[in-house]
Amino acid sequence: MTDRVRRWGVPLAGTVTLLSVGLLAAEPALFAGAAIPLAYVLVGALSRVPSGANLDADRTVAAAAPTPGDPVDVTLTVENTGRRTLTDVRIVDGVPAELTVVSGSPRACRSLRPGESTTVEYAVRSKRGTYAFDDPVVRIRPLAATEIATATVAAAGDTALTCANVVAEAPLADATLPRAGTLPTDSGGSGLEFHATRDYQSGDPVARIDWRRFAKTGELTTVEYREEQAVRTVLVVDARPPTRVTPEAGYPTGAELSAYAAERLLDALSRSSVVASITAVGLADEDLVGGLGPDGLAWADPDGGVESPQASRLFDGVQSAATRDSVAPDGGEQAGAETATDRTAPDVETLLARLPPTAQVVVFSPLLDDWPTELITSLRARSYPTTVVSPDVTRGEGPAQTVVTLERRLRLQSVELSGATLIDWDLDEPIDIAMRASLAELFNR
Amino acid sequence: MIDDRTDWRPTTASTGLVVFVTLLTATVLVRAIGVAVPAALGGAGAVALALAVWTAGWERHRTLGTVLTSLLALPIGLGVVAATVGTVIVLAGVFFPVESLSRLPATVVDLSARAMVVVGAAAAVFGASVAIGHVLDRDTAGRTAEASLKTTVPPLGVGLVLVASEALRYLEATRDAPGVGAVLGDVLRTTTTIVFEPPAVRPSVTTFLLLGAAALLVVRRTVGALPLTELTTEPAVERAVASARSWLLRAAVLAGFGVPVGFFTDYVFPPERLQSVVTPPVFDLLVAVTTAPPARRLAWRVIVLCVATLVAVALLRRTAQTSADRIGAAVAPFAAGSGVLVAAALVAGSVLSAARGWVAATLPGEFGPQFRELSGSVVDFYGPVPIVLTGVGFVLLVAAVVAMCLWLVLLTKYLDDRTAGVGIASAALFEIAAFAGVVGVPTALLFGSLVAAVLVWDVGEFGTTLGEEIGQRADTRRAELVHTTGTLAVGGVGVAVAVAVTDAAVGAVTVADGAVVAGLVVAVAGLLALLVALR
Repeated sequence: MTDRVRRWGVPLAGTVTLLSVGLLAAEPALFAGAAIPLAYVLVGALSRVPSGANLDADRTVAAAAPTPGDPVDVTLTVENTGRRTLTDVRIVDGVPAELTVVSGSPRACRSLRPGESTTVEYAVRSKRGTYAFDDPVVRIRPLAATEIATATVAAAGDTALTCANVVAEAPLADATLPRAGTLPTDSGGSGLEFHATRDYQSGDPVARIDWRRFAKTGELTTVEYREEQAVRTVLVVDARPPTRVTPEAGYPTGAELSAYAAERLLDALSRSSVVASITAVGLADEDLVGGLGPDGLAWADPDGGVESPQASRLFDGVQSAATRDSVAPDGGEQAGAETATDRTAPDVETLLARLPPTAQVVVFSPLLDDWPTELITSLRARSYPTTVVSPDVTRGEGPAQTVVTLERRLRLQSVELSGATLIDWDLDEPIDIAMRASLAELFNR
Repeated sequence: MIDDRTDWRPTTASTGLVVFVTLLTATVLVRAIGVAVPAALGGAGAVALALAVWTAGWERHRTLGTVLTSLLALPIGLGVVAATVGTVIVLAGVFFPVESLSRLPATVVDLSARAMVVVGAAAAVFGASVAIGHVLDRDTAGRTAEASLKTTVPPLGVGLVLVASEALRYLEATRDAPGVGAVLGDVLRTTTTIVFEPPAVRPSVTTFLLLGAAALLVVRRTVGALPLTELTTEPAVERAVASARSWLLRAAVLAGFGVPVGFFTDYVFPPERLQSVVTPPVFDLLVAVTTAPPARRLAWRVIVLCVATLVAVALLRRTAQTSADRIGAAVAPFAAGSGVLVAAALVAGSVLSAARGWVAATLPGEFGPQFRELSGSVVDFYGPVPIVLTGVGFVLLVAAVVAMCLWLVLLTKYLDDRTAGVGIASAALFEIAAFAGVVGVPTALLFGSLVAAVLVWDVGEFGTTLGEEIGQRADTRRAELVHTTGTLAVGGVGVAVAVAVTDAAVGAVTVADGAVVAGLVVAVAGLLALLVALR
C-alpha cells in the first residue's frame, strides 16, 4: 500500500511569505531565496519509493518452553533482498497483544543497502499458553519522506511462543508431602498392623475372631487392626479478585502464579501416585466451562494428573478470570470490585464442608487479604495438615506497596503461628526450588 | 499495528537538532539586526509561554499547574509587549528623527522589518521550547488561554472600575467637560438625582415603588435560596418560610401595580392639582415618604446585600458537588490574578515612574519631554494605582490573546497537534529570514537561515513520525543521520540555484529595476503552478 504525504506545507507557506515580503520591499534576494524551499518541494514531489524493493524477515524465539514470567529473547532479522538502497525502513514486529515487551523494542528504523541485513532484538515476558506472532509490518519511505509504502512481510522461523506448564526435566518427585499415600489412624478395623482386641459383636467377620483365645477361654473375641485410609491431598487455589494483581506490567497475576504452582505440584503428586483433588476459589460461573458446582465451588478430582480434562478446565478457568480483571498491585480499587468479591468469595465453611476428613490441604495464595489466613486458621483448628504456598507479588517501591508488603508479612507470620507449613515463593527463583527447599526441610525434621 | 501508539514523543536527536538550529539561527539573525534587549525579553516571554503550556497540561497536580500557568501570564504579556512595543520604541529612538522627509518611508519599512524579526525570533524560541516537551496541543493551548483570561479579570476589572469611577466622578462634578463628556455628566447627574435623591417638591412614587418591588423580589429569592428548610426539621419553620415568601411576592406585585399610578402622580398631574385632589396633609406625607433618601438607601443596600448572598450561595452549592482539584483549577487563576493585583498595587508608584522615565528617555527628540508632560497630567488625574492596574490588566490580556490565537490556529488545524512546535519554529524562521532580507543582511546569512528553516521543519516532522511509529526506545540515529544529510544536500542545491539567480538578478537590476522584479514574480509563480500540477 503506497500513500503520498503532503509534508511541505510549512516550506510552501514560507515560500509565499518570502515572495510577498520580497514584493513589498522590492528585494531580489528574497525572490532568489525562494528557490531554497522550492527545491525541497520539487525534490519531494519527484521522489518515490524505489520500485522493486524487497525485504525478507526471519524470527528467532530464544526459549522453547519458558516458565510464566520469564523474559524470552526474540530476534527479528530483516534483509534487503532488492537491488536498491532503502534509506528509511521502519520495522514493527507483530508481538502478540497479550505479551509485554520487557526490554529492547520490537520496532526499529534502519537504512539498508542491497544485501544488508539488520536485527531487531527485544524480550517479552512469557505467559501460560501459546501465543502466535503476527507477521512484521514494514514501512518504507524515500529520502524526502513524501511517500509511504506499508507492507506485511511473512517472517520465517519461529512464529509462536509456547509457555509450557509442565517441564519434564525438573519433576518434584522427591518433594513428597508429609503424608503421601496412606494415613495410619488411631481407630481399629481392617488393616495389617495389630491394634487391639474387643468383645465379639454379632456380625464381625469370622476371619477376625481370635480362635486361639476361644479355644483357651471359650470367649469370642474379635481382633482389630489399625485402620489405614488413603490420604487425599486437596490443592486450594486462591483466585479471588483481590489476588488478581501483578507485581509489574506484563507479569502474571497472583492468581495465575498460584494456579501455576498448583499445577506444578499436582504434576509432581500424580507422578508419586498421590490422590489429589483441586479447587479454585473466587471463580465466577462464567469463568468455568460448565459452571461451578452446586455449592459454588470449582472442584475437580482429576484422575490423570494435570493432563486430565477436569484439571486443565479448572486452570483455564483461573487464567480467564485472572486476565479478565487484573488490577495494579498498589490496590487501585476498581469500581464494583467489592461486589465482585462478595459474589465470588465462597464461605470458608463451604470449603471445609467439602474437604474429606482425612485430607491434607495445600493452599496457594498470594496472601493479599485476610480470607486465606481465616481459611488456614480454620483448617489448623480442625487439625488438617496444611501447607501454604504464597507467591510474593508485593515487591514494588511505592509507599502503598510497602504497606501491602508489610501486611502480607504479618499474614505470613500468623500463618506460621497457626502451625501451617509455609512456602514463601520469591518470584526471582523457580517455584520448584522454593518448594523443594521447604519440603526437604520438612522431611529432615 | 504500526500506527496504534497513543503515548509517544518525537525522537530525542531530532528534537535536539530542532532546538539547536532554531536558537542558533534566531540568535544570529537578531544579532545582525541589533535589538538585543527587547529580543531577549521577548525570548524570555516565549519560554514563559512554553512553560505555561506545559504546566497547563499537568493532569496529576492540576491546581498547581493552573496556578503556575496563571502566574506565568504576566511574564508572557511583558515579553510580548517588550518584543513589539519595546522594540518599536527602542528603534524609534535610534532611527528618528530622520534627516529628510523623503527618507521617512524607507525608515518606517526598516523599523517595521526589524520589529518583525524580533517578534519572529520570539515565536521561533517558543516553537523550539514547546518542541522539547512536545507539550503543545489543542487542549493545553485552550487551558492556557482560559487560565490567562481568568487571571486578567481581577486586575483589569479593578483597574477599569477605578479609572471609570475617577472619570465619572470628574464628569459628575464638573459642568465644563468637553463634548460627549458633558452629556454623559448630565445623564449621570439626572439618574442619580431621580433614583437616589429626588427633590422633595413633589411625590416620586414611580422610582420609590420600583426600588421597593425590586428589593422585595430579591429578598424573596434570597429567602428561597438559603438552606433554611434543610437546616431545620421543624415543619413550623418550613411553613413560616413559605408564607413569608408568598407575602413578599404579593407585596412586590402590589408595588408593581402601583407603578403606573405613580407615573400619573409624578409626571402627568401637576403637583398643585394633586395637592388639591388629595388634601395638603396627605400630599405632604406622600412627598416626605417617597422622596426620603434613607428609605431609598435602605432599599438599594438590601438589593446589593441579597444579590451578594445569592451569588455566594450559588457558588457554595456548585463547589459542594465538585472535586477539590477541579475547584482549585477553576478558582486558581482568579486567586493568581488577585495576587498580581495586590502586588501591582503595592509597587505601582515606583514601577510607573520607572516606566515613564525609560520611555521618555528612549523616545527621540521632542517626543520624550512631550510624553513626560502628557503622562504626568494623566497620572496626576487618575493616580498611579488605577493606571498600573489597567496596564497590568492589558499586559495579561495580551498574553491571553496570544494563547487564544494559538488555540484557534490549532483548533482550525492550520497547525497540526503532532508538529505544532516545529511548525511554529520553522514558520517563524522563514518570517525572520524574510524580514532580515528586507533589512539587508548578507545574502549568505539569508540563504543559510532559509536552509535552517526548512531543516527545522524537515527534521522535526521526520522525528515526529519516527516517534509515532518507532518510539523513543529504539535506536534510530543512523536513519536520522541519513535523512538529515539528504536534506542538507537538497538545501545545498537550492542555495546554488538561489545564488545563481541572485547573480543574474543583480546584473539585471542595474539595467531595469521594476521589470526584473516583475519577471522574477512571473517565473516563481510559474514554478509554483508547475509544482501544483505535479502534485
